[in-house]
Amino acid sequence: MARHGKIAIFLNSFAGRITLGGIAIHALLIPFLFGGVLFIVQKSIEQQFIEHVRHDAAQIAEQLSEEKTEGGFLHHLNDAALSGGVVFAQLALEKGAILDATVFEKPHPYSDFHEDFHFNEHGDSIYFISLPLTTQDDATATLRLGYDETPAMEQIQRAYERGATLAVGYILSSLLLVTIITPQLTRPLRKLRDTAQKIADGETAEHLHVKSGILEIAGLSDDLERMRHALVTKNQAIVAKERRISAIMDNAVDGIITVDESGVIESMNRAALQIFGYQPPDIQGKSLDLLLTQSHFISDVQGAQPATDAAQAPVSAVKTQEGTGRRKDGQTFPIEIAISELVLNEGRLYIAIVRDITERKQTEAEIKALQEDLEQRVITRTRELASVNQELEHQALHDSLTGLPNRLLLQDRLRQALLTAQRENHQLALLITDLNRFKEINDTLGHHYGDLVLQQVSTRMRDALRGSDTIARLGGDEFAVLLPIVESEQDAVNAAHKLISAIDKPIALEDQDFHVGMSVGIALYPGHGADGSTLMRHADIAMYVAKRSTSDFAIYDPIEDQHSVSRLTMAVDLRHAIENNQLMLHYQPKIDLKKGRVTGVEALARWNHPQRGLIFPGEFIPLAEHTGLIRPLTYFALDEGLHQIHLWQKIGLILKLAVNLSAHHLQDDQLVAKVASSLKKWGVSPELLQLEITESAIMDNPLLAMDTLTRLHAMGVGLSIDDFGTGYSSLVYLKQLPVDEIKIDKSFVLNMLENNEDLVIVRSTIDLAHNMGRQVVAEGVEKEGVLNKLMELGCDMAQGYYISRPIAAADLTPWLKSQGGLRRKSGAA
Amino acid sequence: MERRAAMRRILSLILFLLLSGSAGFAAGEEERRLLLVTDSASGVTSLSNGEIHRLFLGLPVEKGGHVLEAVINRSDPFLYEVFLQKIVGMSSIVYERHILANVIQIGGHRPKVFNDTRTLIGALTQNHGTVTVLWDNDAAASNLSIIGEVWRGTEK
Repeated sequence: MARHGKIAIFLNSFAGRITLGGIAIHALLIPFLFGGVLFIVQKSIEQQFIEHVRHDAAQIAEQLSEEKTEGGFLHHLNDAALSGGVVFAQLALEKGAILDATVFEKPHPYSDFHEDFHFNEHGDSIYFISLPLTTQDDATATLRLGYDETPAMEQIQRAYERGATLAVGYILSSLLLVTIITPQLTRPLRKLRDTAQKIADGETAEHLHVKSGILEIAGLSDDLERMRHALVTKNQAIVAKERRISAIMDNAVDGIITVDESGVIESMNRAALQIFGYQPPDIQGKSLDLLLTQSHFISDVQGAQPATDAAQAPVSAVKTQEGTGRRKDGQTFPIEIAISELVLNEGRLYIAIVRDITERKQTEAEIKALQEDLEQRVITRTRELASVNQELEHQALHDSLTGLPNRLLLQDRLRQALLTAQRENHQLALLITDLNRFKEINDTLGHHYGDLVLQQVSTRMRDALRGSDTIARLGGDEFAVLLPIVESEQDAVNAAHKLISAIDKPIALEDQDFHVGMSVGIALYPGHGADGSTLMRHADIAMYVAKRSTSDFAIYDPIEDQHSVSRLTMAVDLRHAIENNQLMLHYQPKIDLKKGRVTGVEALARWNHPQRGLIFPGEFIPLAEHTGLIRPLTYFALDEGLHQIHLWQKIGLILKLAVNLSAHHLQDDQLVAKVASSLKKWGVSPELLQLEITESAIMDNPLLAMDTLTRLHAMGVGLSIDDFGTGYSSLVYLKQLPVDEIKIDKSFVLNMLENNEDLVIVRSTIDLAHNMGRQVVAEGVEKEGVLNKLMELGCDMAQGYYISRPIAAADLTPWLKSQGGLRRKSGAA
Repeated sequence: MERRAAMRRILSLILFLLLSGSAGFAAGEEERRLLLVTDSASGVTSLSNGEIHRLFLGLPVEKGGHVLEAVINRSDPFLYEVFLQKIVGMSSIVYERHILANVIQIGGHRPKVFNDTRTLIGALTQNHGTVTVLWDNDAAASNLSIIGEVWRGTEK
């Protein structure tokens, strides 16, 4: 058995394989080599034999052909037989006689003659050959000879024997050489193996160098040395890395614990030892349960990842949990533990990162308490805010005086009601109402009574209608009523009747009864409009129609007098324009004829209508006066004009502003306060404001006019009589009025050069005014000649297209700057 | 049924092969003659043993006003051996060496060698005065003139 084992080791060694290889090569090649050589030798011997036979036979035949007697024939046959090698010689003559060589025994054994053409053809060891010949006497004969093949065969046999001997000798010699050479070849390999084993055992210091003349082995030696060097370098890097990791672990704030597959602690870093209060020897071979009150952490992450994935992602997802740790003294404390599973070839390793979260827990508890307190406060504040919001929302959507919905809420409810009506295919009605004698109460008794009236009116309106109907105050004494569902026009009329009769009853205020009527305008969806805006406008128009008619209510009628409708529509639009700042001011310069420079401007309103474009005062001022809108319109002109004077002042242009007043204003007890308020608002001196009023307006109520104008004059505001000469003029009152200036109507000025009467009026007016100590302004100056004539007549100021048309402030400002000579603030450029 | 038919076919094939083999064997035993032939237009009717010997050794032979030319037939190994033994009396190596020596010493060119009978007969027909050896059946199938019998016997 031991011998078999050694043989097996030898056969598996490099030397054994070389030996086996040598044997295998020779076993395959030697037969071919020696077999081939022997075959060639054999063929050569056979060829030589045949050549000898044929040549010899031909010579004998030639000798015989020179004879003609039997004696001669026998002589040559016997000579041939005795020459060696010939074992049969016979001559067959033409006559049938056969002569055999007499030197052979009789009878010779070769009676059956088979001519051969190849060596050993018939297996009889004799090569028979026959040759025809012609004897000396021209007789034909056939020479038959037999040559012994045995010597040639023996020669071949010997060649084979020698060849076999040589082959065996060759194989043995080869084996001997292989046996001698192989150890020489494998010695450096063995040395390399021994050194490699040392490296594998960790003895890496020794350099690996094997001398060998064989390039492959020398190369292998160099490669192994490089490998050893790389291994040493890598090992050093690994050691350094391990030291670094060890240092990191020891300096980590968190505790790091490694646990094997069975839950036994393998290592703990310095932080972990401090957290749990152990020394390294204490935890040797101990279970993780020693440190934790719960033992489920490891099992939670076990098998999270199959081991076959180790090459790709050896670490499983980290699972962080909170738990309770146990110190060496038995004290428990809250911890945060993150465990990951590391799948290695040698098994699974669990890495637990532990953090003492005692302080954090305390902080969290404090934060939680603070959070709860904060949440409670937020809830309280939110409730308060909700309440305030609700209140604000109510205020935003309701009228503070009456508590009714305001315009904003009405518009929203109207929008909703329209959508519902559209979806459910029914009608709705919008009623706009206006109190008839409210203004008188307000003007005569004051706003307090007016407010009380409005409150009572709103209560009565609410009581008169259904709870589902919306009653809104639009402003002043104007109300709107939304009837979200009406069967017919009659329903809306009935509602209007209810409202009118509710308001028609006397209103008792402080032991005094007041009568205020109500005008109602009705518009229906879808007959009078499909949207809220149209319905509002049409109900408004209907209300104006009702106000003008004898009836207290009117239903919107599109085929009514177009002019009337147009005017009413414009009135409604004008009110919206004033409210929505669609009006603007243009300014026409007034020139001081003595100083020859612009000293003031007259503010003239322009209306930029969204559909109709720019509308001039001649078209909308009468309407404004008729509808009472002149008051807000004038307030707008006053405020906007003073604002512009303020802007001009800021750039050094000091100009006087002229604003027209209507007769209504002379009865407006708020006018003086409003003027004072605007002057103060824009910081404009009263002397820079000139209010222009027509003679007719003053003569409507001279006493009231006198009172208002006196108050304005006392403030320092300048006053002008506008369009002087066109209306009724009372010189007595004129003399008493606190006016500073008289404006000659342009109808006299325009043609004063051509019309002598006009010239007389102009001259007389100038003289009269000057005599009364008033200044004179001529309007409608459109020619240079007129201007010159006015200067000649001693007129103080002039305005008209010749000087400048009314233009926007933005266009006028550069013109004014270019005029120069204006009054400027001291120090202004 | 199909298996029986297949067996019958196999038996028939074996029987055919056996018969073909025996026929070949019989043919091998048949007596054959190796003939000396020339083209019919050469006018040569016979040649002596010496002339034949000289002709195939590459030596000049003139007959009937024509200089004869030997052509070697190597289409059949046995035919060639018979030719070597009966006509030139040499082994093949010595014969080839001898021919080469003659060409070098005397001049001229080596006899043409043909490995295909049909090509050989074609060459004989086109070139007057050419002489070669053919089996009797090949000679009978051609228009060549038989001018002698080299050998008669059976192969093996």
